[in-house]
Amino acid sequence: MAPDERRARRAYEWGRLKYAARRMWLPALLVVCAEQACGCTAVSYGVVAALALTTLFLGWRGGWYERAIAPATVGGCIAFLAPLCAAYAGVRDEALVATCGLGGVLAGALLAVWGVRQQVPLKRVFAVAAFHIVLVGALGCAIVGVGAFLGLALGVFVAAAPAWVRAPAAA
Amino acid sequence: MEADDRRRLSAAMARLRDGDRSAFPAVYASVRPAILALARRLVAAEAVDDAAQLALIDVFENAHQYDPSRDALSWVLGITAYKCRTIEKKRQRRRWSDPPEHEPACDEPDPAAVAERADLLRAAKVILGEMSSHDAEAILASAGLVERPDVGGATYRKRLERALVRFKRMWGARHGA
Repeated sequence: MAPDERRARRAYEWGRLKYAARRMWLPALLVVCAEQACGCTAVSYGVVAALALTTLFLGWRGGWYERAIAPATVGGCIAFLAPLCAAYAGVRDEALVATCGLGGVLAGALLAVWGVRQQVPLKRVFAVAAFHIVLVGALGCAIVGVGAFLGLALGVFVAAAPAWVRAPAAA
Repeated sequence: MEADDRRRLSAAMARLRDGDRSAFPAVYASVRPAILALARRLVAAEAVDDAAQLALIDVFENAHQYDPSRDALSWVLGITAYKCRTIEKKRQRRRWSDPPEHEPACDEPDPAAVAERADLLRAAKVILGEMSSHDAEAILASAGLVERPDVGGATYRKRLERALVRFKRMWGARHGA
């Protein structure tokens, strides 16, 4: 690659990174919501940092990865709100863990429906989008504990699995 | 560039905008010669490489802003033209503001330059004579030849700007440059 071409390539990647950074309001908004709803722990801040990196990666990578941000965020918000609403309604203990799992299943199903409808041509897109859902949902499940987080992750991956299996490994 | 090439470039640019890195070599190969050719027309020879390089970087850095419904070549050349004009303006400003690196060996002015200057002044006087007194007064005051009119700073600047535009127009009509 010629030096000019290398510089152009670097400029392109830098431009995409700046473009992706515009979506950083999303993790910021979520951490504010989580803080208001249930108070943030050190784990929550770690999750938010991972979420920020995932959002940045999806936006920077572009294509299907970028398009997956919207359904993954909506699904993640469902998983995020489910335990909060349940806790507000008086649900406690195991039932609350199950609610996290249910939220994960709903979010994963949403991702699967989107993937099948849009005919997403990459397994990796599902994997990263599912990870994004788990991170968003984990902010809500953090009030319940590790069991809820595992329930959420299991729910997401089980529900998204059929679409993941259908998608080809490479475009 | 042929119509087919332009369409191909637009398609490749749309893919690149979407994050498809495999379109990069095709876009780069089509865009670079076009940028260089335009830069050669818009900036001085010594600044062509810099201008083309900066325009190329601008194009790729803003690739995500490309509107796929538009012709990619026009978009690229628009960015290049803007960049080249900015660079050329900066270059000219620097040329006027920087003192010459070497002082002339003797203080005696070059006779040819003196004659040329006298000719220019004569031609300028003719045009100033044909302009309104307000315009002529504003221009002469800016050269420090008469006293500045008794108006506010902003008013004077606006008046001078308009007078210079009229002066350039009249000069162009008469001398063609």
